[in-house]
Amino acid sequence: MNSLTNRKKVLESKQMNFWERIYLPAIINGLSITMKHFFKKRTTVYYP
Amino acid sequence: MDIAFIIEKLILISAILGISLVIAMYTTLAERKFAGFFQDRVGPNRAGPWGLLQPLADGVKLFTKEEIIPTHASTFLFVLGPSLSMFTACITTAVIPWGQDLFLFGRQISLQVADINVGVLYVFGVVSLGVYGVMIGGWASNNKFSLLAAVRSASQNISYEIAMGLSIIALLMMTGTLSLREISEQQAGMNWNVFYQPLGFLIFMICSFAETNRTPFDLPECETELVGGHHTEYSSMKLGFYLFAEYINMFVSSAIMASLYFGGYNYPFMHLISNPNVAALIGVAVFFVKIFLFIFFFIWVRWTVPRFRYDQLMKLGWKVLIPLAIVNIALTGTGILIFGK
Repeated sequence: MNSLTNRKKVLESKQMNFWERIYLPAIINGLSITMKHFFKKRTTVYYP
Repeated sequence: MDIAFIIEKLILISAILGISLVIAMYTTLAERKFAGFFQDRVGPNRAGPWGLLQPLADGVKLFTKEEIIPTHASTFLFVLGPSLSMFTACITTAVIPWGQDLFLFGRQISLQVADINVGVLYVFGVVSLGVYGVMIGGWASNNKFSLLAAVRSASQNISYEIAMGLSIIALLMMTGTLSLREISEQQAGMNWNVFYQPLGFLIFMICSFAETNRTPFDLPECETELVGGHHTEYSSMKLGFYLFAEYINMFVSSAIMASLYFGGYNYPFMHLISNPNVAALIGVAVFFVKIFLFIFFFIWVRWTVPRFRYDQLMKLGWKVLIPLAIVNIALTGTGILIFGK
């Protein structure tokens, strides 16, 4: 079936390389994603 | 020991205690607001403009709740647990150098409550004592789940103390002194220790996340594991003490990291300012900016990284961080031999 969004990644099962094993680049990537959300517009609706 | 000295120290102690309590209070608000911002929502904003009176509301709530002491719980130990946690959290602030000396009223006032020459060792001793608060609280609750959670939390605490101490040893090889004031003075200008000890700083930061029970190491106190952890049976102000002690610990850990690795009250071009009082006050402001940035980093990581499982946590502490810290010591040693730092 066709994919709904074009963000799918085919899963590959190979050993993690050094940079993936120390998890720090992944954490830094996650931190940048969270930071992007910090500056986006908030979706809270203010009821009177 | 004249009266002026005693009065000066009393004012300094009450100011530091007051500031650390107020900062811990507003850290609870900052945590909730920033958690909201990171999750595309607004945090608490009803209690005052931008929710600024929310910590006061929380304090009043905790004061007016019912004090429950479980049956067959040892009352003395039950009250001692949170008191010990709060006590060890507060007395660590005694050795942190908040700024250079001020020259007021013809006296030289040092902005550090106790300039002992084993400052770093004192900090580690107090951190080790902090384990008692958790253990006593878990034991005195007369609850199997509290006990299990307290045991887990204590084992996490003592495992990461070792790696923290080892990473500091590499720093001490460079500075040659244990006194926090001298370590801060050696980092004048931009000569910060983090540029010479990046691996040591990384290990110390990970260990301080574990010591303050902050995510990703907050297994002892998250809600999905063993109910509330070691503070399940606590209500009202005793629970308030446990939660508050965690935030004060966060503040103190940030202050220690800032003064050991990020230059404390030093800032670039500080030698260009002619009036020493103005330089000292700007140094205090810069120190607090660094502390707030670290607290923001604590909150940022909490809402980004998932929690470690208990065996992953232990494996990280013993099998990864301790060898890394030892390698760091060896590297620092060869560096000192080659460059004579």
